[in-house]
Amino acid sequence: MMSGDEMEGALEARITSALREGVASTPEARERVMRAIRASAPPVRGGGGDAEIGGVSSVVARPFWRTPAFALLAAASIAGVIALVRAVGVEGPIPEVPGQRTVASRREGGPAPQSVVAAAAAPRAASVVDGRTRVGQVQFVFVAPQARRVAVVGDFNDWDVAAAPLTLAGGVWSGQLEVPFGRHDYAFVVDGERWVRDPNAPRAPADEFGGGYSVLVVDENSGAHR
Amino acid sequence: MTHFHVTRGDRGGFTISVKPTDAALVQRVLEGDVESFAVLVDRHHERCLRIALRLLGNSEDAEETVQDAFVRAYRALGRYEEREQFAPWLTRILVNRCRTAMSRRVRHGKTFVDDELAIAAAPTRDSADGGMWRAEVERALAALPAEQREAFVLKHVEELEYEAMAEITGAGISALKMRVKRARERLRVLLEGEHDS
Repeated sequence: MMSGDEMEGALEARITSALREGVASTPEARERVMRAIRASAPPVRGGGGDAEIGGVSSVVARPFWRTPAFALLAAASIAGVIALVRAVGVEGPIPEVPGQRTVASRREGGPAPQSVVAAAAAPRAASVVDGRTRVGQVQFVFVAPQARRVAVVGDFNDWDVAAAPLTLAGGVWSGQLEVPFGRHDYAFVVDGERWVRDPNAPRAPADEFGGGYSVLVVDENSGAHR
Repeated sequence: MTHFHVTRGDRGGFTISVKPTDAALVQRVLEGDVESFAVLVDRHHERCLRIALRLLGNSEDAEETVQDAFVRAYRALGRYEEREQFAPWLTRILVNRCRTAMSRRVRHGKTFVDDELAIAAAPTRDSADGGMWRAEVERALAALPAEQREAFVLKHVEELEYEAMAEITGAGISALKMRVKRARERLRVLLEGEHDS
């Protein structure tokens, strides 16, 4: 008669065995991969590729948000956000501050969470990575002191909730991202599960996912605007 | 670098076959030989497909995600460094793509089943004993939270060390151990009755 441990071991062996079997790679599937590879842009030596792959491309300078200068600017930005929120409340958009960039933001908390648009510094408006892609620096701000975590998701990070977590300081979640030039849909994800639009931003038309996400445009003139 | 493989033939002779390492193949691709990437695809496709299928629970999504991971790996090949092993590097990309596919599926409203009653009521896909058991295991695996499923598959299906899993997933080793432990306990609860029968 088997002991409890032996039974557990036998069960786990059956589970793992079942999961290892029943998967077969076919020549047709591998050829489909190669067709996609041949149609793809060639790899770039020493740089390029996707941000999610890990590490920072050697072509890209140290991200500005990791520098001491950004720490100071971020502190000033957050203070600016809070001051602006107090000045205009949460009813409407805050006008852009000369010399600063509009950022995507949202305020949450209280009986009826509402949003604000905040202004914050985006000191490096545009740059070029991997010799092809032009990017703008966009600071995302989300006021939600009660949240346990907040992230930005959008088509620029494949809607990956783990790709762009914001950092909490004084009840304000913020983070600066390099976003390729162009029009992007985005949203905030609170506590890993609640998707929140920026209601002050233009809303994207419905798509097959349900749509209605916020829209952000990054271009030469504005760095980032909505 | 190149690996030499020596095998004994039927008539007592020896055959020496030359198998370039993954790193050597990457080098060739970077020098413009795109077709060398096909060897990497041949070597790693099935393992990637197994991971994606176990994480996503759907063969169509799995194949699409694996293709996407290979294309992204190809485009990012210039950032691959030889001190890394190609397999875990590729696996990291694949796991990220699977996470993205899962988040897209959430957007579609196609979430994993996490209701035990629904799992129990779901029809089996295969009437053969082995197929029935595998279908039960797949359903139980799909009922796990995504992080536990990912940790369990990498540890027990792919037999990776925790250090390698930490590199791939970005999670700490103690967190991964906890996820694996919880996944094993949950699977045991979900499958014990099936196992006994």
